[in-house]
Amino acid sequence: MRLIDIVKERESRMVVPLAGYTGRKLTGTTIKENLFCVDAYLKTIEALVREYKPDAIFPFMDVVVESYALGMKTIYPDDDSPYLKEHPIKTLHDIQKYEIPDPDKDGRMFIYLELSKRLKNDVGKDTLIGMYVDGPFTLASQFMNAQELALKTIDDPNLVKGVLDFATEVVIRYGKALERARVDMVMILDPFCNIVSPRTFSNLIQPFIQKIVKSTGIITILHVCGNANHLIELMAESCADGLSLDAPCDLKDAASRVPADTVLMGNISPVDVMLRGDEKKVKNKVKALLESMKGVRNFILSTGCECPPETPHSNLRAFMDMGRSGV
Amino acid sequence: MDNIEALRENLIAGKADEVRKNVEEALSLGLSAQTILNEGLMKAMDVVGKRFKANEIYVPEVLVAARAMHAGMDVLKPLFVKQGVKKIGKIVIGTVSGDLHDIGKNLVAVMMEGAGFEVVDLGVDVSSEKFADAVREEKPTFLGMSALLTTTMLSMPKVIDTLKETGLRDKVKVIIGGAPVSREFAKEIGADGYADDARSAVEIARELM
Repeated sequence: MRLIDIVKERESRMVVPLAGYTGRKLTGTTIKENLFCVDAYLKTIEALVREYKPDAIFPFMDVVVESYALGMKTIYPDDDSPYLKEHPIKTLHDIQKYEIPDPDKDGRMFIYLELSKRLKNDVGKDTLIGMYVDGPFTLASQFMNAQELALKTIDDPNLVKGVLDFATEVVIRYGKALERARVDMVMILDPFCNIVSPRTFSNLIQPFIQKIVKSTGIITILHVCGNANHLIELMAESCADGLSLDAPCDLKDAASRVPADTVLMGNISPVDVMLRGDEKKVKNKVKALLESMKGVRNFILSTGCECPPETPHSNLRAFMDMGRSGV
Repeated sequence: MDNIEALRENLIAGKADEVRKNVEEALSLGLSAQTILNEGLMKAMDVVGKRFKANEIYVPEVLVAARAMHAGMDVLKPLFVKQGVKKIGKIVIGTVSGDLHDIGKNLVAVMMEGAGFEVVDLGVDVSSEKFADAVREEKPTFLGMSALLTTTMLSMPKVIDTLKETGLRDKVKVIIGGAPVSREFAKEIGADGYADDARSAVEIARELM
């Protein structure tokens, strides 16, 4: 089933905050404890489902799962998001040192496969199960030093293509395993795309995103956070079922720029509103967004990106309450 | 001035080798380092900054232009001492503790340099103490802090606290920026300025001078 069909068949607006990390406060665990233990992780994500009853649930926005599965050195702070310690790829030759990870056994991918199966079984009747994969350019920005990668888009596009091609194969294999684990949707996280021009996105990156989208039979959502206003039409051309856009994007304007069957998700600010605002501010911002998107059928209320781990639960409650209020 | 015109065009196009040659030619034609800097490199970087702010060019294009500017600067630097080129101010800059993301910080550094400021780049993951030490030693006009993560941005008020504790707060103007940072946050933590992109950093600095 396509995302647009799911959205249209619901009587009320779908509400899907991206707030996986906040769940660990509900279970009194740390981020690291969840990332390495599927039992703990399952309890945390199910606690979020019970507490907020969102229409779809996503886990932590854990963007190093693919790189870690490749054996790249990764730092895991106790209660913060993990990050890469090294960016080992400098040449096309360097890629040959790596093999496409086997999701069943390399790194922590199996945790997400198991998490998907168990979430689907436990809460999948009423909640769509979503998982994240990295987008090719963002994964490439972990393989290579990010600034170097940005420069190479101009100096050496062939190198970038080679790295993107490898990243794409990694993501496709992982995505297929998630599909077999019965997830309903995959969100392709490609935040680093917001630094490139529409031309570079179109020529260099978009074909690889399209390849990922076409490789899977399940729902795909493309997420580019920050200011992606200059890429919206091109993101829609990636053929993903949905686009997840951040607070700097104008969603109402985006709705006029994408096909009516491309679902838009967004875009309450995770920092200014969800983390640093109070309940009143959250409700006002959600209300204003819902009012501006009135009549736009292809829209899911969400946050612009993952809510920071310290986001108050009272703000998430306010987000859900206003989202469900029927405005 | 045809040579300076070519220099500007080559810098904007990110042609580092051409810019180096243009600078050498300009010197051989008798132009001063100050003139080449002001009329060539700085004016070109100003165009780059404006185009970036107007979304006509993006980060990679700015990075190649910055590299071209540095190629030109490298030729001029030995002459700065001899000819006494004046900088309009000094900025100490770095990403805050725990944050390794430096593209934004690097863009600000290059824009500031291109606008005639002396830049002291402390790099990434800079502790409060290191920022304070640099303020004490370098006596900059500005302290620039950058963060990409919602967690690391919370180091910014800590740096400001350290500046207060060490009696340095009123000696420097603090400008902050980075994806999760906002004007509101800057106000809340008592920063003097907020820059939402690299070009704005230059504008804010000029306003605060």
